[in-house]
Amino acid sequence: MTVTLPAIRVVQHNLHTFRHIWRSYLSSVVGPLLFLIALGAGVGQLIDQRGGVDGLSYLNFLAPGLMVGVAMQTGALAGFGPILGRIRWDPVYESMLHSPLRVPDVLLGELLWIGLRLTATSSVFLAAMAALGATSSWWSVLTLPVAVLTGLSVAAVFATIAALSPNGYTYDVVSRVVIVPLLLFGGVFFPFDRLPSFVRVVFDLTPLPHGVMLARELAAGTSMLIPSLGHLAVLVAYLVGGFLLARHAFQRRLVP
Amino acid sequence: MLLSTRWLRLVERNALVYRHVWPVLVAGLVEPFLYLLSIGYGIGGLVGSVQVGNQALPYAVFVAPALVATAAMNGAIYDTTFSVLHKLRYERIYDTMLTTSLSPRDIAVGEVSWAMVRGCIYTAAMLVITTAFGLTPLPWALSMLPAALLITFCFAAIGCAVTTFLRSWQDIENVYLVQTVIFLFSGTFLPVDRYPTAIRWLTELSPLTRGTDLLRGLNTGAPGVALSVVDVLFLAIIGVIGLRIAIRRLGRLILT
Repeated sequence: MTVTLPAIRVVQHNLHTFRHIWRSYLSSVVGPLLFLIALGAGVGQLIDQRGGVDGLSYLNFLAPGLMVGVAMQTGALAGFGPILGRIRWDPVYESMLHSPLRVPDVLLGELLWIGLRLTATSSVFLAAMAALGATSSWWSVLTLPVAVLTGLSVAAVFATIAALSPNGYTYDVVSRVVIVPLLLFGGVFFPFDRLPSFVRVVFDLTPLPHGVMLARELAAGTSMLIPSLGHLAVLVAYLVGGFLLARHAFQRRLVP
Repeated sequence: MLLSTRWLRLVERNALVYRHVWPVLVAGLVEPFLYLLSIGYGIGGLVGSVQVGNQALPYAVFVAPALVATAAMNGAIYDTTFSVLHKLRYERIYDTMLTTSLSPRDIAVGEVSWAMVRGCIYTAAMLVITTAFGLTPLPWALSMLPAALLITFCFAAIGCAVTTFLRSWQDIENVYLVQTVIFLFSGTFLPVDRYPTAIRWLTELSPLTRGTDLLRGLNTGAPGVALSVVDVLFLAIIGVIGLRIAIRRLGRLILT
């Protein structure tokens, strides 16, 4: 007999359904690549004339941060939509809990699945970066785990929100109020330190700027041990905290 | 015929429904504004100024008309794909309407007109913001409103025509992908003469490029007359063609 993690069954379930719906995810993979080309290679021409950003060409500045920003967006959507659906409209979790699976298994399985998706989409992004010449050394490969970790930490938080929210509009609101501003001002498109300091303080409480800075410094080979560990600690804290909160919310929602 | 005003009934119906979902409109206004801040000022701080013709424009001034044009396009596409598809395939409201004295022509003209009413609100709000930031000085900013309405007309007609070919929500994802391509590669962030030659040809034929060119010309206060006339004709002709296709296809879809 082989010992398998029960959560793997949830991943298998998702993989089966995914085979039928993967086409609708194509635009979420291709869209970010278009932003990378239009802004990195396009607007980058104008910026590099003036010496680039922080010693990097704009493409090299943008690419690792955009990978992390997109992972955040993917994590938020993946952590919210399908999970809300399976709690409210298509009660798959209820069926799963009638099998030997327990609530933490279900949640862990969902997060593993999201982790797999993030790994796949971020790998495509990394390949596109390499093709565009946005990778300066093998260190760029390290942006991949940073992106996946950032996406997962956000997904765990959004799974909690999904379990607590009354309907799908919550996502529209949280996405517009939190995710879009983070993506636009969280250091992905221009250096974070150009923002007013009170905005920076608030943004620094979220995982995104930490993921972006960690990935960018790793890719450029300019990272220093202590700040990098600090960024990493914030991401891990969000992931662990998000998991614990989501477990609590799932338990309340799913176990009568 | 267009002389009949029965299509106004459809506009009236949409307006009545809309009273209940106005928060969507407010949310739709916030996003272009955030883009303006992030791209115009954030990335703009890195770019400095852009050479257009013989003028050096601050990047925010360069980008603002493009973002007004994009807001007009996005509103038009959203109003004529998402909600029209819903009415056409799921709610089946148009079938009901045909039992009254409304014709497929009234429906297409009504939906496009309604998109223009909303587009007028989006772009007016956007222009108020850009004018307040000193990016689109008066009185020329006033002339940009009717120009933006022409962009809305063009994309609303195209949107209606395209929606008649969509089968389900999955297909809408492809529409949004095309919309992203148009948004990013229509001279929005980079003067078209900086594109590689092969791409530039395609870019020049994008209705958004023509719309942005028209608005940018008006914004400098000295639009090149010949090119502006070409822009206006291009948008109007594409719009009329789209509308005709929409009328023909709607007739075939709901009369059979």
